[in-house]
Amino acid sequence: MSTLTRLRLCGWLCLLPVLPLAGRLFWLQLVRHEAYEAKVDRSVERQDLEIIPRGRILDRDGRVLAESLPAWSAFLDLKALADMDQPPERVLARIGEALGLEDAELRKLARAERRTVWLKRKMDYDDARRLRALDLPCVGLEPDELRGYPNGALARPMLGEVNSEGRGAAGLELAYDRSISGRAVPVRLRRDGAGRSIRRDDEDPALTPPDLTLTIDRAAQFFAEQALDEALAARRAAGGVVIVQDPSTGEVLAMAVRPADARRNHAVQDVYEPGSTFKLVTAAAALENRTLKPGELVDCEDGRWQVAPSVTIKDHDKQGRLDLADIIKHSSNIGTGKLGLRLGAKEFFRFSRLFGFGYKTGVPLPGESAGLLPDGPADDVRLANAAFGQGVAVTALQLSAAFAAVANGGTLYEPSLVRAVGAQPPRAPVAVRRVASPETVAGLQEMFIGVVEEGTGVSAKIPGYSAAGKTGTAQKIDPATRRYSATDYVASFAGWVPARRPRYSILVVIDTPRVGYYAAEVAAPVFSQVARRLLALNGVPPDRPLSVKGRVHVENTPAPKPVAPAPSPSPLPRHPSLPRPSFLRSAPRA
Amino acid sequence: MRQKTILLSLAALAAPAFLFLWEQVQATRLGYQVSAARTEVRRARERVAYLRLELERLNAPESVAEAARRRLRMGPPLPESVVVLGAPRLAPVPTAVPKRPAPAPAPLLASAIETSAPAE
Repeated sequence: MSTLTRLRLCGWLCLLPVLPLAGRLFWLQLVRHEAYEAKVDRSVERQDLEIIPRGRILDRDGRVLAESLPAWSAFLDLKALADMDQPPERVLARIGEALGLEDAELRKLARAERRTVWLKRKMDYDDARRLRALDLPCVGLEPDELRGYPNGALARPMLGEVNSEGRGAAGLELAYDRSISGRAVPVRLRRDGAGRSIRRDDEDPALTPPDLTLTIDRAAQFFAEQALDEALAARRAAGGVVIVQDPSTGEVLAMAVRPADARRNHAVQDVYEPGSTFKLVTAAAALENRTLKPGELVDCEDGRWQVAPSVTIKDHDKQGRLDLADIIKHSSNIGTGKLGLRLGAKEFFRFSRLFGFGYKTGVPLPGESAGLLPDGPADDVRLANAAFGQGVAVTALQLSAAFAAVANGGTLYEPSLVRAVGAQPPRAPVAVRRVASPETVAGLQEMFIGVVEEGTGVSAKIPGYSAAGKTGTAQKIDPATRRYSATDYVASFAGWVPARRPRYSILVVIDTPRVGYYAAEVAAPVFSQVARRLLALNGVPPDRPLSVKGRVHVENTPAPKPVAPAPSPSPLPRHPSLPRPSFLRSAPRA
Repeated sequence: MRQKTILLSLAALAAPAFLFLWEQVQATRLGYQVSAARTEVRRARERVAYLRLELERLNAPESVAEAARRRLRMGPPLPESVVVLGAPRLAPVPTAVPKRPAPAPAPLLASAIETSAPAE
């Protein structure tokens, strides 16, 4: 055997042990690759939960009203704490310093019989950052969620709240919980011996809940709440509601509710006797049915009318014979009561229902009340009372929607609070029905303009703008005596502005005022204040001359010529039985 | 020649195996990098969410009104302080105070809103 052959043989012998190894490697890496990878996965892979935060709630211009933030809950592993090379007291002191917890509290936690204890739940970003920076193996962080309302208490009775589990518990948070609710999504992680992990799944954008866009205007909501708070403080009242709607769509632009309770919305869940604002229904029914002949007057009995042997209806001002427009202008209970009797219960309550009273409005808020309307025949006393808004009960939103219907020319819209869910196109307004003929609605509009111009609602006037509306001062039932209270009232004013081209329909309700109680004194000025700020904010052009106290506004132009206000796009026909209000004749051409 | 062929064959066999091994190592290394980047992104998003909420809090009407009142001594404008540009001009109702001569032309924005009106 030659030397070369021997060397070759040695070479092959050296190579021989490598061959089975190569074969085995080939078997493991290429043939059995998947099976062994799955085995490895089972031992190094773990599942974690990732929190997908709840959808935001935005106002109509995309400003945030509610937003969920990532939060963390920190726990302490007591066994890991004991195994640490530092004294536990020192570690606890560092934790306490980072989280702002007392030493005694931490020591008490450390004495627990369990292996793990919660250090702090729903921590914010800064707390979590400080804790992470300590890099302690005995402390763990669990992802959580925190619902934030950046505007504080603004619109909270409408927005509602979420519970500790992050689910909607009241208001819109509850009504749209299924749409905007956050979720915990399982995420597969692969972890190596050094504790480093690799995420196995990609993020799925489809799992992110949509945002909820409301019809609410944050600025309008603020103005409404500010005006309501000022009025409640000045009148020492128990509560109140201000609702602002766009009469052309029924969209609710603001809903201020006091007391501000995130779990209860008094504007839709509670009912009250509306008083004279309900004369809207009586006047509409009388106009539509031509209950009064043209020029016919109603005897208002000099302020006292015995409707039944033991029941007398009174007016706050002595009135003689009045036509329908003057009955509404002076808010005569006697005149309205007599009209109610002439209409009859069937027709009166039919009209009440036409305006949406007795039915839920369909607003997406939980616990809405339908109000209370008497069923079946009503005696004269009940009918006369109902004609001026006593003995019936409505929600503030029902009344607001009814006045918005008159403002827009007679279409009752479903009050809407939600414009869109996610990227959906904005929801179209839902017209429920027509409440009366165009002639009747035009007649009502004239009457309510008269109320503000020279009737009980003069304190609702807005400098530079025409307005229309109706006051309402209703007695409250005393639950102790089950009779009308002599001291507790609900003052309200419902109307719209500008009178001829309505942009805002506004309802003000002040519950149990202690300083004054007449609506003209208590509620109408709030209407004026809210309307004035909204009109100025949105640059609505004035339709009346401005009377300026102390000085005259001078523009940088030659002496301005009086210009008539722009005509209404579609002037509504006047009702034949109505005289033209005097203010229309005598008002300066503006 | 035969030796060369054997060596080349072995190299041809070993090369894909090394390539596969290299790819696996690279994939793992990139996986760690992606994971770290994701964590960084998530934390940045969390921080952004807190900052955005803080911004909304500062932009809340109540905060803005309070800041305007305290720092700038501003208040809601009186109706006569607001002039809507493009709106039809209306004749003012004269009061006891005589008209002053028209002031010098002011910039467009200044004429739109007079901020000198006292707070309500």
